[in-house]
Order: sequence, then structure tokens, then C-alpha cells
Amino acid sequence: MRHTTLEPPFMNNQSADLERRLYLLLEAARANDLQARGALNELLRHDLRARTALARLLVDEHVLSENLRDASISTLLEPRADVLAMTARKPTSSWRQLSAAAAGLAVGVASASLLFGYANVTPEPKQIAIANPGFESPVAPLPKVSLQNSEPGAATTPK
Amino acid sequence: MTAPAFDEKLFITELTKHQPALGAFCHAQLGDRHQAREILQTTCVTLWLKASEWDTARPFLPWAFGIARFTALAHLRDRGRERLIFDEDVLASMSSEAELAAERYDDRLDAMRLCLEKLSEKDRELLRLHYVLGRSIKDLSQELERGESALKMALLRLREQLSQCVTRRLNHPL
Repeated sequence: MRHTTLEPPFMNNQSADLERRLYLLLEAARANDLQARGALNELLRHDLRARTALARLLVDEHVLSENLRDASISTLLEPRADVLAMTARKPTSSWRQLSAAAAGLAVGVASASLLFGYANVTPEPKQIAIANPGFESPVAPLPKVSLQNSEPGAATTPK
Repeated sequence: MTAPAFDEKLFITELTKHQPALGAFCHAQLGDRHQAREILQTTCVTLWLKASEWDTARPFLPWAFGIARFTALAHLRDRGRERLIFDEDVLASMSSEAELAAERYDDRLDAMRLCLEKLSEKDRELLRLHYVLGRSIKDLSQELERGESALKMALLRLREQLSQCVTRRLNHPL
């Protein structure tokens, strides 16, 4: 949107003084100075030049903050040299990290295997005499037989 | 929100294109960035609801400025004098000047960008803290360990430099 009309020049002292006065009154009014607020409104009510100057001052203030905000966002998005340097080193550093992780894993697996082997040594089997009858066995124990003075083939009888 | 039938594509294109200028107009009408943002939002909703009333043969921006002007006045009436900078009659009488200044938004934005590049990093940071982050002079004074009056004067000088630079660039574009 290009206009051919020229902006009022601010090079003369009168305009500069007016702009300065408006700026100071505006800042004071913003800080809740009621006297300054009254003076500002009074000045604007009666002076077209003051209205023009203040409107321009406020539009420029908006433009100023928009520009600074855009610049802040650009700075945040802009890749910084140190970040770039870190990024450039990244492949090597990630390779080293991977190697270290693999070595750690190998050592870990070996240690775990040793530990498992030690903890699971097969114990000597306990013999359980399941064929040895006890008192409660229904089979009576065999009588002791003296083999002295007995003839071969003679029946043995309990005493 | 039901919008009446209209050329949505054209409307959205125009609104998107001119919204920054509308924002600047609202700021110039109220002198307060928080209230200006509120008015801009209300204005955009009203523009959407009244989209069918826009005569596409005529430029979008003056029509949008008109609606923003009424929205700002309604806001002022609702709020009374509570924390407002301008009286109702002053706000109404400033609207033509605000329109004229905001119409050249794009030119002013470009000029301001070039003028800001001439400032030191330190000065730009001070402006950013105050005008973008909204830090008060008192806050900044404590943080930067500088007197409030000195900071006020520093900001005033910077604004004067920028104003003169923008005016020069608008009158003598490269």
C-alpha cells in the first residue's frame, strides 16, 4: 500500500517538542496519573496536530513491538553456531555411545551367565528308602534263626 | 456461529492480509496493547458475522476500520473510565488520524525494521523487555540497576530516534 503523501517532518523543534510532550503524558497516563490523563485528553481535544502525532506514535509503537517480537522468534529459530557444532559432532559421539552400550551389554550377559551357572549347580540326590519297610509295615519281620547244630534240610522252628 | 453466505475465500484473504493494520488501528484508538488485542478479537468476530454486508467492489480495510471504530467505542462505554487512556470524544476524534497512520502499516513495518537494525543490541533488548514483554520501568530499573528516570529518558530518546528514522524512510524510500 504505497501512498504519495509525505509524513509530516519531525526534524523541526516544535514537532519534536510536541511528540516528546505527548509521549511523556501518555506514559504517565498509563501509570494511572489522572492529572496527566486529563492534560493528555485536553491537548488532543483541541489540537489536530497532537492527534495526528499521537496516532502515528501509537501505530509506530505497535509496529515496533511486532518487529521486536518477530526478531525474537527468528532468533529462537535461528540455528546457532554452537548448536551446529554439536550437531556436526553427533555421528561420532553416537557411534561411541553405541559401542559403549554394546560392550556393556556383552559384559552384563557374561556376568549374568556365570552367576546363573553358580547358583544352579545340581545338588547330590538324596536317597529316599522307599523300599525299606518300617514298623507299620504289614509284613512281620523274619525270626532270627540259629544255624548252629542244625542239620541240613531240618526245618527251623522258632523257640 | 452461523455466517451468512458470502465469498469466504476472498473474505479470509482480505482479513488475513489486513489484520496487522487493524491491530495497529486498535492500538492507536485505545493506547493500551491488552485492550487493543481484546478489541481486535471482537472486531474480527463482528467482521465475520457481518461479512455479507461487505461490498466486494470496495476496499476491505476502510470497512473493517469502521467496524473496529464502533467496537472500540462500545468497549469504552462498557468500561466507563476504568483504566482507559482516552475520553470518548477524544477517541472518536482520533479515529481518522489512526486510520491514516494504520493504512501505511506495511511501509511502517519495513521502515521500523531497518531503523531497529541501526540500534545497538543493548538498546534493542531494552525496547524488547519494555514493549514486547511488557516489563514496567520499575521492574527494569531494579533488574538493570539503573534509576527509573534514567530508564524513562533512555526509552524516550530511543523512541525519538526511531520516530525520526521512520519518518525519513517513509518520505524518502530507497
